Order: sequence, then C-alpha cells, then structure tokens
Amino acid sequence: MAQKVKNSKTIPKSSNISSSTKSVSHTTNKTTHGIFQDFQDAFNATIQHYWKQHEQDKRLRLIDIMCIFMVVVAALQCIFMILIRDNFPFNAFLSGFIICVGQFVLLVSLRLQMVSDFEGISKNRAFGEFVIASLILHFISLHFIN
Amino acid sequence: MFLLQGVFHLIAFVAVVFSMAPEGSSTLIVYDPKLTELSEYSKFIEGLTTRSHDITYLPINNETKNIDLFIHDNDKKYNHLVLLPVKGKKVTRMLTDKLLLRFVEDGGDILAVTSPITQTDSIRLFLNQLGIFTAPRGSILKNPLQGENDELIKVGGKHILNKYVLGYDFNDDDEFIFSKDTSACLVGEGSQLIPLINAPRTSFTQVKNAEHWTDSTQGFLSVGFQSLNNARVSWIGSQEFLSDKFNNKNGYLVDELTKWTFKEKSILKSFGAKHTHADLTTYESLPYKVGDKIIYEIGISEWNGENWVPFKTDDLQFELKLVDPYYRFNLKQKEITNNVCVYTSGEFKLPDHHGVFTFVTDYKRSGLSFIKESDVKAIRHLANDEYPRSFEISNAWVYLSGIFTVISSWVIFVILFLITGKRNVNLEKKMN
Amino acid sequence: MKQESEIVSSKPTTKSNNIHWCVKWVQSILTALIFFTIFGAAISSRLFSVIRFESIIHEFDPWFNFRATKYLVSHSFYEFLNWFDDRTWYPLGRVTGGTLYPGLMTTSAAVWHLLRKIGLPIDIRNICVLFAPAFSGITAWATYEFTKEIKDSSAGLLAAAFMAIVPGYISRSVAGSYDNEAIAITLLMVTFMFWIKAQKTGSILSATAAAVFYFYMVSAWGGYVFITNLIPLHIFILILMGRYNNRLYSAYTTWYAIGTLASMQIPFVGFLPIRSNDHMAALGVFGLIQIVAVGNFVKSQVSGKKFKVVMLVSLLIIFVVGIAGLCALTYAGFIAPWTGRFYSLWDTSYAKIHIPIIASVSEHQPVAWPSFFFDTHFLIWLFPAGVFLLFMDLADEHVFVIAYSVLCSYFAGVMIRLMLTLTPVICVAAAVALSKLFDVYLNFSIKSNSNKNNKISYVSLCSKVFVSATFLFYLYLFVYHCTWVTSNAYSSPSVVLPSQTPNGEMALIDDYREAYYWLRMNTAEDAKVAAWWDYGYQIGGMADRTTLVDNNTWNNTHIAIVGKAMASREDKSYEILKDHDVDYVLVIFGGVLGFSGDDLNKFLWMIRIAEGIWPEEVKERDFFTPQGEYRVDAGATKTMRESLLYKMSYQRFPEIYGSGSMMDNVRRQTISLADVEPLDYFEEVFTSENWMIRIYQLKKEDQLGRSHKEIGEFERSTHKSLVRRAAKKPDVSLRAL
Repeated sequence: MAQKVKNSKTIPKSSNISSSTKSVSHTTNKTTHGIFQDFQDAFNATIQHYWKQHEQDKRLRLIDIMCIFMVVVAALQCIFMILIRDNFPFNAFLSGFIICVGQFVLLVSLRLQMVSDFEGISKNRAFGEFVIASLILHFISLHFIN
Repeated sequence: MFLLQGVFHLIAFVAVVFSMAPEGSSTLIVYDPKLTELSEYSKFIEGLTTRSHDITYLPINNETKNIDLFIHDNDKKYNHLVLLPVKGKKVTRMLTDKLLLRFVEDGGDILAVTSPITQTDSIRLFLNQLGIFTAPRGSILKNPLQGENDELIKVGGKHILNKYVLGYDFNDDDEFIFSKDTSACLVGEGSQLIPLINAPRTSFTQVKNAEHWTDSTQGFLSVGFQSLNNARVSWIGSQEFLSDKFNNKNGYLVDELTKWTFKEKSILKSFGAKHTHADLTTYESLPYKVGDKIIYEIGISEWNGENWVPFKTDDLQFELKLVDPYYRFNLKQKEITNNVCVYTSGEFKLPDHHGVFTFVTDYKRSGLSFIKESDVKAIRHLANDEYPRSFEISNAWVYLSGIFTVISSWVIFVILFLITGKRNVNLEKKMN
Repeated sequence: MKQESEIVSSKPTTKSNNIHWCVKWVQSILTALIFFTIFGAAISSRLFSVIRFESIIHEFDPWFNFRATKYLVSHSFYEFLNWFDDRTWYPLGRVTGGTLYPGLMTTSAAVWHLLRKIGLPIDIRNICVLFAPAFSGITAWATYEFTKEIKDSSAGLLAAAFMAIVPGYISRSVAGSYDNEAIAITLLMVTFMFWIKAQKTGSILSATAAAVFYFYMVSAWGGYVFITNLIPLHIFILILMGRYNNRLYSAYTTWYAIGTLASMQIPFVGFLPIRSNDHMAALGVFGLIQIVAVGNFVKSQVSGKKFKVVMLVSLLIIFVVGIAGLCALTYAGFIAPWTGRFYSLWDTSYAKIHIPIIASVSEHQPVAWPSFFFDTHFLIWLFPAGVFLLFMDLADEHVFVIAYSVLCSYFAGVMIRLMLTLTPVICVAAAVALSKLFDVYLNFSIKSNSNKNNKISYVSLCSKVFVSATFLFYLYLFVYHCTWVTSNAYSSPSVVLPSQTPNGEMALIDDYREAYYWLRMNTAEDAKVAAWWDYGYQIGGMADRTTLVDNNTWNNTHIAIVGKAMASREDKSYEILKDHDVDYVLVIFGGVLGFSGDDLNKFLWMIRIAEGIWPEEVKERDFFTPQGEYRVDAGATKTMRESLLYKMSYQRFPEIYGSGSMMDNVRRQTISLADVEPLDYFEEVFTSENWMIRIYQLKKEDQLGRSHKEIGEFERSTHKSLVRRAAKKPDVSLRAL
C-alpha cells in the first residue's frame, strides 16, 4: 500500500513531464506515448502483484496499513508546521517526524523479510529484531522531545 | 528586604565606631627658617592643631642631615606633609622627587607651597609628574591692570573653581589675596588634577628670554590632585596666602584647603556593594544565569569632618560590563539612615548573554574621593532542563501526540501481528 | 609476531575431518591465546611513554579532556552536561558541556565508578593515562571481527595484530594521550564491523547496533562525519553497480533513521545532521534507496526493457528536483553551507587564504610522504595489493573497504590528522593481502601435489619456504620498526622534552611544568593569563589559572585579540590586555635552547589572524624587511622590534653571558643589546630554567595617572635632564578655562 502511494506519486509526475515533452516536439510524440504506455503497464503489473501478496498473507496487509498510517501522521505534522509557519520546538518536530520515518522504514524492512527471508534470519527472528529496533527508536525519540 | 537593610545598618554602625577620624594626623612641616618666620603663620598652624594634628617641625638648615618620611624605608612616618618654600640644593638631594612620589603612592598627603624666588628642583619635578607645571624660578605672576594696589594679586570669588574642595557660594565680592611673590602654574589634562584657583583674567607670567609661561586664566594659583588611592596633594603658588597677614580674607579658604588636603572632608566611603537575586538569594547559594532578575545595591557615606553622613547624589552610575558595558544606569536613592545613603538599581534583568561579567560602580568626581566597587561574576547559560519542556509549549503538543499515536499504534500493531501470524500459521498447516 | 605464523599454520589442518572437533578446540584455544598476546602487545608497546617519562597526560588537548573528566568525576553528570566554564575564554566563558564530545569523559568516568564499585579505587589520572592503551586492545578485536567479515579469521588475526602495533595508530593512543581519538578509532571499527554484518545479512539488529555505536562515536569525536559519509557512499556505489538488494535497504534505512535521531541527542551536534551539508549525502542516499526499493519491487514484476525506460525517466526527474531543492535550501539558509575545514579538504590552499586559524594548526597540514612509511612501514605497499585483491573478487563488503581506502587515502594526503582514520584500512587491506599470500605459500599439505612427481613438489616447496620466510622476515622487521618508532617518536609527552647533555646523557627539559607550577603557586587564584592559544589547555589543566584563549578555537575574534596584543606596540597591548583583566602574559621562547616551536616562530600566524579582523591596525607586511625577510636581529623592522612578543622574548636575552649580544639558536641570528627596547608596561616575573617560558606581569595602573611609558622615561632620565626639561614650557596638552 505504501508502495502504491509512492507509485501514484511518481506516475503523475512523469506523466506531466511526458505531456510537456509532447507539447515541445510533435515528432517525438510516438516515443513519449510509448513511455506513457510503459508506465501504465508497469503500474498495472505492480498493483496486481501487490494485491496478490495481500491475499496470500494477512500480515502484509497489516504492515501496509501501519505504513500508510505512519505516512499520514508524518504528513499531518509537516502540514501543521507549514501552517503555523514556525518550526519553534524544532526538536519536537524532528522527533515526531523522524519516529514516523524510522518506524516506516523498519516496517518496510520487516515486510521485505516477510515476503522473502534473508539468508540466515528466520521470520520470527526478523520480527524480534524489528521489535527491539522499534523500542530503541521510541526511546530515543521520547528522550529527544524531552 | 529587612535582612538586607539590617546588614547595611550593621555595617554602617561598625564603620562609625571604627572610623571616628578617617586617618591618624601626624603632620610634618618642612620649612626654611631663613625664608619663613613661623610666627607669621600662627593662625594657619593653630587651625591644624585645633583639628588635632600632631605637628612635627623640621627647619632646614646646615645641620639637617636627612629627612625621614619613612620608617626603615617601609611605612610612612607621617600621614601629612606640609612643604613650605626651602632654599638650596641640599634639599633636592634629601627630599628627592622620587621620595615624594613614593610618599603619595603610599597614601600620604602633601600641601606644597612654592615661591617664585626659591624653587626647589625636586619639588618642581615632583609636581611636574602630577601634571602641575609651575613657572620657573624668578617668574612672578603680574597683573598690571589690577589697579591701585599693584603689588598684590587679588582674585574674586568667581575664580574659586571646585565646590568640593574650597566650599560653596562665593560671589565676586569675596576677595582673596596672594602676595606679590606669586607664581602661577599650567595644568595638564589628567582627570585627577583639580584646578582650584584661577589666575586673574588680565594676569600673565613673564619668563626671562622666553614667551609668557601663563596668560590670563590659563594660569592657576592653586591646584589640587588626588591619586587613585585617594592620597591628596595640593599646591599653592604663594606662601603668604597662608600668613596671618591675610588671614581675615583668606582664612576660610586656607582652612578648607587644608581640610581637603589632609582628608578631613569630601571623603566618600562605600559600605560595600551587594547584588542578589530579586528574591534576595545570594550568588553563592544560586549562581546567576542569563535573564535572571537581579538587584544591585550600594551604600555610600561622606565624612564631613566630624561624622559619617549619608552622601546624596543622583549621578551615581552602575555598569554591567563584559569588556564593553552591557548596561549602564543611574542608581536611585533607596534609603537614608543616619550615616549612609543606600542606592539601589531596582530589579533588572540580566542580559541574554552568558559570560563573566563585572558588576561595577566607578564614581569619580573631581574633589571627592574616588569610589570603585567591582565584582566579577559568571553568568551561566540555561541548563538543558531549564528550557521549556515540550509539553509546556502548545505547538509541541501536536508532535507529542504524533509520537504517542505512533507508539500506541505500534503496540496494537505488534499484538495484531502476533495474533494474525499465529492464525496464518494455523491456516497454512490446515491447508497442508 | 609469532602468533601470526602460528595461526596461519594451524589453518590448513581444518580440512581433515576425523579429528575435526579436536582441531576446532585447539584452534579456539589458539585464537584465545593469540588474542591475549595481541592485547599484551598492544598495551605494552603503548607503555613506553610511562616507562620513559612518567604517568603524565600528554600534549595539549588531552589536558582539557583530563580536566573535564576530573570535573565529571567530582560533579554530577547533570552538572557536567551544563558546565559553564568561567575559567577559559575569559571573559566570554565557554559553554563547555554543550561544546565538547562527552563520549571520552563519560566512558572513563564510568570506568572509574565501576572500579570503585568493585573495590579498586584508582586515581582518575591513571585511568585517563591508561585509557588509550586499554581501548587499543578493543580496537584490535574489532578489527579482527571486521576483517573476518571481509575475508576470513586468519586475515582477521593478522589485521588485529597489525592494528595493535601499527605506529600510525599508536601515535594517538600511547599511554597519556588521552584524546578523543583514543576511543574514537575503537568505535569507528566497531561501527564498521556492525555495519558490514548488517549489510551482509540485512539484519535489523546489526544495523541497530551499528546505529547505537555510531551514536557513541558521535558522542566521542567530530570525525564521525567520516562514517556519516562513508556508509552512504558504500550504498551509493552498490546501487550504481546494480547490486541493490533488500538486505541493503533494511540495513541502511534502519541505521540512518536510528543513527540520525540518536546523534542529535549530543548537544554539540544538535540539528547539524538535518542542517549541515556535510550530512546531506546520507539523507540523499536515504531518499534514493527508498526510490530504488520501489523500483526494485516494480522491476520484479515488469519486463526488463520496459523497466529501464521507466527507471531512467523517473531518475532524471528526481535528480533534477533533488539538486534544485538542495540548492534552494542552502540558498535560503535552511542548510548551513559547508564548513571551512570541509573546504580545506578539497582545496589545500583554501585554508591558507581564508582561514588562518585552521591553517595554523599543525594537524591540518598535508602529510609529508615519508610519514606514510614511517607510520605504517611495509603495510603501505601491501595496502594497494590488498585493495587489488579485494577488487578481484568484488563482494559487497569489499566495495566498502575499497571505498574506505580510496576516500581516506585522499583525505590523509590533505590533512595529517586523518592519517589516523586511514591506518585501520591499511591494516585490513594489508592483512588481506598477506593472508592470501600465506594461504598459498604456507600450504604445505602434500596431498594436492603428491600425485605428480616429487621433483616439482620439492621446487615448489622451496619457493614456498622462501617466499614465506621473506614475509616472515618482513613481519619481523615490521615489529622491530614499530617498537623503535613507538619508543622514540611517539612516546614523548611534549610537556617534558627529552634532550641530551653535552656528555651524551639523557636529560629532561621540564620547563613547562616548572612554569605552570610557578603560576599555580605564586599567582592569585583568579589571575588571568594571556598566552597564545596552544598553551590554553595546559595552563588551565596544569596551572589552574584562567585563560583568554585555548585549543578549543571556537572564537576567532577572541584569538585575534591575543594575536593583536602580541603584535602591537606595548602601550596598545597594555590597553587591550587591561580591558580583558589580564594579569600575566606567558610567552614561549626557544632561542636559548633551540626549541623551534616557540612563539616567535608562530608569530606570523598571530599576525595573520589579527590582520584578518583588524586589517588597518596589524599588517603582516610591516613585520618583514623590505627584502621580504623575517628578521629578528638588527635588521628587524621597527614594527617588529616594537611588538610586544619581540620585546618579551628578547628581554634580557643579549646579556645572558654578559657579552651584550647573543645568538638566537632557532632563527640563527644575533641579537644585540641595542635591538631590544625596554619594557615599560610589563614586568618580568618568571623565566624558566632554559628560558623556554617567560612570564610577565602587567604593571598596576599608576596611582598618579601617568602612563607607564612616561614613568619609564622619568625613571631612566637623569636628574639634570629632567631639570632642564622642566625649565621649558611643557609640550603636553594643557587645561584651559
């Protein structure tokens, strides 16, 4: 799901670009169209695979929901800071923001290991490591916001 | 507050007990019998003795071997020294300029009287070092336009320059008389010099084969000097100014001048400067940090000849310095007791800059003794827990709640993960 | 050095199966034994300084660390963290707690408390003195673990042994050299070790451990920026090589997220990881790896050709946006521009032109080539061989070592102090090369060769023995060299200088301590001492007096003030120093002894730094003769001869032997009595035995308000001349009404 968010981010961007290149030169119209098509295909294939993964393992879905939640919380904090136009308790913002980012990457790391094991690390051990790392992250974050 | 006042009272009381007279009064008068008939100065000497001076006379003649200003080269033998005009090179050798300088640096007071006829080199050099440049030998102050009595130099009340030294409220009708043998001097710009009596506007000093030494009010007939340790020196350009002959005219001035020179008046004393937190906690128990509220207080007394009395002024300044002054403001009178006037800064906020600051009151007024109270204290920065905690800042609540949502959702996630994980495993097994 | 050969010879036997467990057992015992000897070698070779001299803190910075540690031990940690030091940088004071790397002090204080708890109360000074040797043992272990991941345990043991005794590392970690680097190199190796493990396995736990040790490293040394850039570089290169995999993702992102957040806990570092450009590479790679991860996910689903197009276009867009964003942020001031030290890394002449204070530090000078050999001996030529061998079979972790060695070789060439970070990788690469060599040439198992005829076997055996013997001999030479260098070059505390008497006996020049002791005993406790910043920490640590500037050169202006005072005329200096409440001025003078590191030789730096702030008042040109020479004898310029430092250095110098002229043994110029003008504003109060340290006191303000120059002239003139002058009308400014 997180990947989906990211994907949907990159797609409009590149489509913008392709549309702008379109207007610049008509001769390259065909190739740009090809690129656009490629994007479409890649996107569809990825989405399909993604849903398949979800059906196979409920835990992945759980992780993804959590990931989205992290992104939402981080975005909310960012928007808040931009709205008040003041980053005064900067340490508070940083710890609030980074804990989201940190938790997000930890979740993704966990997810990667859930999909396919890393050599020498079982799924259960991966989860255990994830818990320890998260706890350390939380502790540091709380300490930083003081 | 009461505590602080109490402390000041106590200090003041103790000070009064111990300093009935600011200093002992052993006085040496050096004179030349050939030039000076002491009996002509009886009123001057009487003035000193009635003010309990313990006078030693030292006539300079052929028998004089040496002049002891110090005991075994260590402590001063006398507190005050009166130098009347003396003649001869011998004196220069016995009473060297360096000896006189040392005497002043040691806190001794000197009243030097010179005459244009006999100028002792050492005394002249000594005065030069202070910034008093007396006219050379033989150069007499002339005032040809003065009128009928040409011989005597007369100055009016307007020429009296310093109220702390010679007193107040002279009008031009008051007349003070210097003899015909009067020398004037030039005065350097040093802030420790105190011009006392100005030469008449129409006067000048003629020097042989050279330009005038002084012209008009450029010249001074009497000058005072105060060293940084509050030793006082004064110079008069005419011996007869002190004599009985003119005493009815000059008497008051002579008394005031000697009183000032021998530290019997215009003495200021600080009874300690104090600074504390606004709630009276001292620095020792709680060092200052940036932005603290501080009160600075200082008590000042003046010796009026008999008692310590409160010294009242409105130009007493306090400075908070870190190389350059950060703050400078006038202190306000807070409380006046019998002996002391306590000045306060009121409550003020320390600057938002950490460093080692100097709390200083430096009161230097020409004619009054100098007061300098300075105290060096470090002002530290805010400690890590003295900044507002994040939950005290409303903005941070958003982030704080963000963190707690993350953590709590994480806990839920872990629990759910474990549950679903088990179920999955079970499902898989069943499937198999 | 025996241990290396032992381990290598024990290795081949592992192959035989039936006595497998026995061999394993013997091997582990051997390994333990070897480690024990490595520890012993590491520690004992660092004790030369204690044996030769005494148990004393060395040099400059360690004195501050020592003082800070004492403060930490006698106060609480909380007080230490918020320590406002009003005895340095007078009158500004230093927010010491917020401007130091507390890792070193905290560790040694922890050791101190621990030893007390178990009933071994040891003087804090001894802990500080022996701190570096103890940690060098741990460094050796970390190097072992690191190299084990790179190649195998035999290379690891070799690397550990090298690391234990290599002079390049010993130079900063002899007993008494209580500096941040002492602990930082250990932490550097531990962090790298965990990092290699993490990137190999993708274990979140290892990455977390790497992050935690990274945090420890940040708390201990400013050189942590090296790690901050090296690890992202490693990842970046791997991505460029198309070697991205999910293990890298989990290792790197975990390390970065936790490491960055943790590093911001150190007050001195603060928000730098977000703001400063030095840290931006790590952030950039963090962003990149997210994109690459997504790309990888997409790639696994889509055909290769399509993916390539998609990837190229997206990458281009992201790259442009990223660069633009970085520039915009730097321009808008959100990100601090690169610091001066950083610039000087790229352009060696940058510092010389723009920041004299940085250039004036000898540690920031480029390395002289011989010192590479001096510091690492034969490892330096094994090093490229090792790097090459790693190139040959390019595993992910090998890329790390290669990136490390290339980056660090360059930096070490620029700044001598970075030699220290280069040393570990030299050891590792050399160990890899050597162990590969031994793998081949110490393999005496006959099995492989016995099938063929015996003659060849004998020839190859001979060549094997020959090559091995050569290298064993090199190893022997290496050990010999290390011992020699350590005992002769790196064990001097520089507080006490070794010298030889005319008879050839060894003598100690103890002028520094003599002078500092004099200050401690003879001056008021709150006396302020002005000296050039090099001696600030020592004055604070040994003499316990307040200083104006010290080796923590955080305020260039304040240093320039001292420089200006030294370079100005006496009356002006007096005014400057009096404004700063200075009581004593301390100068180092090597003219008698021939000690070339004295203040007159550093004078040009003082002038340059002062000129940087007051170009109108201090001019470097004025100190050189018209011919452009730096002269101190009769040919010296007027400005030179009137400068305070000159007067203070040479005061009374020409009359030492009563001849009226004297040869300056450093500058090889003869100073005569007429060259040295009298000092009016200062009074000499102390000169050490060999004239190395001279202390002057500022004369008190004159009671009579005269300037000291006037007093001096008055005292020097004869009575007659004074009388003559008094007869004339004074030419001073007069008061007029």
